[in-house]
Amino acid sequence: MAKEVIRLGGAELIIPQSTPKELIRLENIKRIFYQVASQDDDENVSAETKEKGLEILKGINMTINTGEFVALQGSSGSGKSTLLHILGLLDRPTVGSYFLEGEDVSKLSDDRLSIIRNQKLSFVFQSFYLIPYATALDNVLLPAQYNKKPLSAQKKRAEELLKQLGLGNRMHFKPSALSGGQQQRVAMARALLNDPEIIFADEPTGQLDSATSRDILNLFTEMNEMGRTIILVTHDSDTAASAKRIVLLQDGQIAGETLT
Amino acid sequence: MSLAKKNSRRGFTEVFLITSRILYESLHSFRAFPLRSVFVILAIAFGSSSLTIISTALDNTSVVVDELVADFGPDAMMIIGGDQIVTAVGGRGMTLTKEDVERISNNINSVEYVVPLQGTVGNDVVYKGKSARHPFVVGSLADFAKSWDWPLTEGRDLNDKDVENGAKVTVLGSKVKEALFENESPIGKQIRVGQSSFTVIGVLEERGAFSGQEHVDNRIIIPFSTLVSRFPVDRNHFQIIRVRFNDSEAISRYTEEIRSLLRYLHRLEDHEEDDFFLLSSDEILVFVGIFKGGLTLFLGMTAVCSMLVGGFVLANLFSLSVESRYVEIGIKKAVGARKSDITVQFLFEACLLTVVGGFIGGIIGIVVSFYISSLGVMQVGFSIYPFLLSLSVSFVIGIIFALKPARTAANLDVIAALRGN
Ligand SMILES: Nc1ncnc2c1ncn2[C@@H]1O[C@H](COP(=O)(O)OP(=O)(O)OP(=O)(O)O)[C@@H](O)[C@H]1O
Ligand SMILES: [Mg+2]
Repeated sequence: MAKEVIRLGGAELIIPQSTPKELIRLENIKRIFYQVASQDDDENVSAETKEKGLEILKGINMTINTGEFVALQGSSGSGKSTLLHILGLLDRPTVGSYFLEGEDVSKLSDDRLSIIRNQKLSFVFQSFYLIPYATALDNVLLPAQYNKKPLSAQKKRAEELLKQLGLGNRMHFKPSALSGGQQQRVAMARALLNDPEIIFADEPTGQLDSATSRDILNLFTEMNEMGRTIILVTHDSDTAASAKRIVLLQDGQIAGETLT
Repeated sequence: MSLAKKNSRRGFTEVFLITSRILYESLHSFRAFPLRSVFVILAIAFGSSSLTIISTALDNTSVVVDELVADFGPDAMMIIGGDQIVTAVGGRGMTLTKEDVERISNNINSVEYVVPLQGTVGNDVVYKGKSARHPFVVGSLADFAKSWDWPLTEGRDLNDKDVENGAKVTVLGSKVKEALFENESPIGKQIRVGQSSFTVIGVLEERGAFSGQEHVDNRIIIPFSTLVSRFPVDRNHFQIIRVRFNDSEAISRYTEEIRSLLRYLHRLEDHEEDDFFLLSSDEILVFVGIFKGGLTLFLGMTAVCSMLVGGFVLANLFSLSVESRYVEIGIKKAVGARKSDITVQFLFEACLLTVVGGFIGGIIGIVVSFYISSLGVMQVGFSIYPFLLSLSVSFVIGIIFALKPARTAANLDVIAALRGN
């Protein structure tokens, strides 16, 4: 729970916030894919589906508050990644409104979305997505390339983050010289560089063994405790259990919620 | 704070910072994609070296032409016997007579002097075992050097006495002097020309030009009377008559007068073509202009083609490069790169390679030009312009041919790019 700290003279008054701050609100979000790009079951797709498109998200309504750790859980094909991409401003909903910090962001320009992604959001993916020909440090510094903050400060921060994540002696290694867990840590350092408000993670432990997975999940918990909002996608209920709130997704619709 | 209402335009410092970071990053692309880099650089270097060579060559034709016109004299005209300019000098019809020379000299106003030229080729010139092969043996009246504006480096010119007496004296062209005497002074030395021996009295300055196949410096000058008495040449006809006027304005005015005088003297009917050819410096310029225009067009096309080949190599390699870098593009967009940033990145990478290629090609071009000039085919005066030209053309080629792959990369959908399709 987010807390508000008020200093009165020498005393600290900790007041539980009565109304949690709304960060994200989705209203009737639908995502329809029209071009079914040469899929293996091309012939099974009926002419009708081709014309009307595939409705993958079928009217999602949800609210996420600042500081939450939410898991979107569901079976393969339920639309988790599609929803995450929309939440992360990597994709736009076909229908519906997306309010981020109270503003409708579903119709902003691409450039505007780039700025928001650069300053407020960040991503960790199952397959890390590190640039193979750049060093760990340069990968972490990637988001620094696209804003005007001084590079020297960002470089210092990148080095600190890598050290904190146990990669102090691997900063100048290329991804190919790092283990899966190490690569994912580099990706997490990159996600933390611009001190984002929300971190999106899509199956971040999908390629890691169980011990390494636990380390990575603990890192998410730590980041959440430091006040960041985490939205994590997984098909796995053990992984989802790291979150404080689990939203179940089934066939493009919300099928239920649990608080842990 | 408002997410939506803020302007998404970047300020000047932001553009400067981000662009320079992208530029810095693209410097590393050379190491990341060595094969692509080498191929693009080679292709562009090839095109730009030919461009440099070609523009150097063209640059120097103007130098050569200027010299030619200066040598020829802006106030002079040549009348060449025979009816076509394409026939080599010796093979032309012998149509110019002594009478022609006298009548031009007497009847045309503002003529300063008229000198006929007759010569023969086919005799070796020998001095102490060294020889010059088949120089043009020219028979001239007095004052050859003066009337042809062709200065002497040493000795004296032919004079009236030499011509009257049919003296066995000669003035050497610089090529002949070099072949026979190297650094020694030839003045007063005896050389053999065919069956006769001659005393060297002077040496002409080097001209370095070609007349047909022959080097103009490969010649010796002897009195006209000596030529006709010692060598089997036509004593009644001349190959060339040189006419010099008081002022250069007069040339165009008197050209037609000379033409009709000669047609009258040669008894040509109206339907017959001239059996002589009038050449003034204006005509040299026109002729060279046509020649140079053709040369420019041909060489220009060659250079443009080789640059285009470089461009297509670039475009193909960059398209492949974009395909293999979907994830990089996707992740850059995910962390905040705009379309323009991706476009700029690929353009920088391309221009970096083409400019390096252009630079290398420019250097190769200059080296090759100097090599060619050392073979004596053309003269090269170093000029920075062909080099700068090929550098800027390389830059432009980089922009033009990388634009499409760069735009393709920039327009990729983030999710599709991350998925790799
Ligand atoms: N660009 C697209 N065009 C057409 N169909 C798509 C597209 N992207 C996703 N889909 C379809 O949408 C459905 C949901 O995809 P999504 O990636 O959101 O699933 P998921 O819940 O993340 O599954 P997984 O756990 O396997 O990653 C799938 O059936 C998929 O084929
Ligand atoms: Mg998924």
